[in-house]
Amino acid sequence: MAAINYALKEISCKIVYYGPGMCGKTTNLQHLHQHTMAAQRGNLVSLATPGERTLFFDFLPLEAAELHGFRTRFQLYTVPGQVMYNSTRKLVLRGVDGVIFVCDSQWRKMRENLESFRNLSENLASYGLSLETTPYLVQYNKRDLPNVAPVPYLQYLINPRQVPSAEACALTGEGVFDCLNTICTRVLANLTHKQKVGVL
Amino acid sequence: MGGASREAMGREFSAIGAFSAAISFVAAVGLCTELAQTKALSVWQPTGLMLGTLELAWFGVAALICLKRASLGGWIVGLGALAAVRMVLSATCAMTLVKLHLDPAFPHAWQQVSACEPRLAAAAFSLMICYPLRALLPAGRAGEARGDAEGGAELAAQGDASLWIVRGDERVQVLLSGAAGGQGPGVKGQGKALAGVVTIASPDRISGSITLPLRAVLPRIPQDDLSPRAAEYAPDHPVSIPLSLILPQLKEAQVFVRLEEMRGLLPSGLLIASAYGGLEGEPLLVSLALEDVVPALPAEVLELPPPSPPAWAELPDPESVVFATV
Repeated sequence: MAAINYALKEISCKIVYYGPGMCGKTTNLQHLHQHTMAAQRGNLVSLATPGERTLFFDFLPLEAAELHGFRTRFQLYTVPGQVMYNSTRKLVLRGVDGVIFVCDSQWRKMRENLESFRNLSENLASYGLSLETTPYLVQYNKRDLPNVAPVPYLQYLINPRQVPSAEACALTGEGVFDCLNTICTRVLANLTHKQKVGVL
Repeated sequence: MGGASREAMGREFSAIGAFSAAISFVAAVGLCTELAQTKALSVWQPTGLMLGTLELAWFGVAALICLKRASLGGWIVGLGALAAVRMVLSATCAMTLVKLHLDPAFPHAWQQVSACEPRLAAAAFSLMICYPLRALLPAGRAGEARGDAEGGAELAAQGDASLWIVRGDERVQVLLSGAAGGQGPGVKGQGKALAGVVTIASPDRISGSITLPLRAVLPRIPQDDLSPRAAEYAPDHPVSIPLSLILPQLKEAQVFVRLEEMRGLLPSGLLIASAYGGLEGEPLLVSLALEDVVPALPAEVLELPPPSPPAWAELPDPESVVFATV
């Protein structure tokens, strides 16, 4: 749930990068951290194992331009992708405003993508949320690798409803900002709509 | 028979099975010996021929029920095994009587244990003793066909939805609901065969097939199940796989084909005769690689329905947020 501080004229939204293990969620955040202006970003907090597996979550606060006199801040989180850390994933999803579902495009990861996407649905449901009400975007990551599934099959598998999606290569940064810009826009649109209908 | 099926057989004919067979044997010897010494319950005693016929009928029906997937040869072997165990049991009882000095000579003791009550008890116990051994019998085409027919009947009962239950070490349950796709828990272990029970519904409306080169299929089949003739075929030899087998599973990011179904798709003689996958009702599943299957699919298979995005995706943009572009 976005936090609106009228005294400070500040809107704070939570975006979560979700996906199977080793799909590139942390790499997305690292790229964002490296390529945003220092004044716009906070520190990237990352709790990882020596093998660079996310242990708890990664956190990166970003500040966007003022909208209608309100400072907009986006708090970007990643979840640990490993199956055993579901309670952490659930915890990170609390109060989420938007999700970027990062798909690993490699053939051998198709099943994990699917399971992770279903896990996202289940974990959102535990907070009374759903993908019907929470803006999300599907990022097809690792498109630079040779053994990747074609996008039509990924769409068929993960995104048959055809919500916004984008191809990306988090390592080189291709598509990373596009995804962030799109989801932030959708989150703000959703926020505005909620305000209009009086939910917020 | 494949490695996985042998493993499954090993599980079936486990120490517990052997132990229960041994316990049954000891109990049978005790009971039959006791019955042999007991006076006949009724005045009328059936003749040896009548008892023999009764026993044979009992063994025949029991073998037929217990060995649904066995071939005719397997059924005959099963029948013979039951009769042999019954004879061994009676002989042991007679020897026990002699050993305990309850009877002076073996022929007389044999006559005693061949009376109606001990003989029928021995016949009943023979089945208990032999039951764990049934997994060792070979399966035949007839048995497989019967299994398929039964699967089809289950399938019809389920309507459009189909259910895969794969038992074994990798216990998974996958719910598939036709080509439209359903949601269900998943199967790990892509790229290797699993032993399991499968009831597959192939939607009738799906027709056509895809062609894969033999080299995409052969590595997926347990090497033990391949006959020496497999090497004679060219790696590019086409293997046609019906879409009705593939499409219901495509939404689950996996494609499994039962080994017995694969037999019909592969060139004849490529699989060894006994390769059906394992125990009764537990066929082996061959996992086909998505990277081989998906590119071979007709384009229309992956066509999506008209977009139906959630309401939030269609809200007008209030302002666009641009952090940066590289």
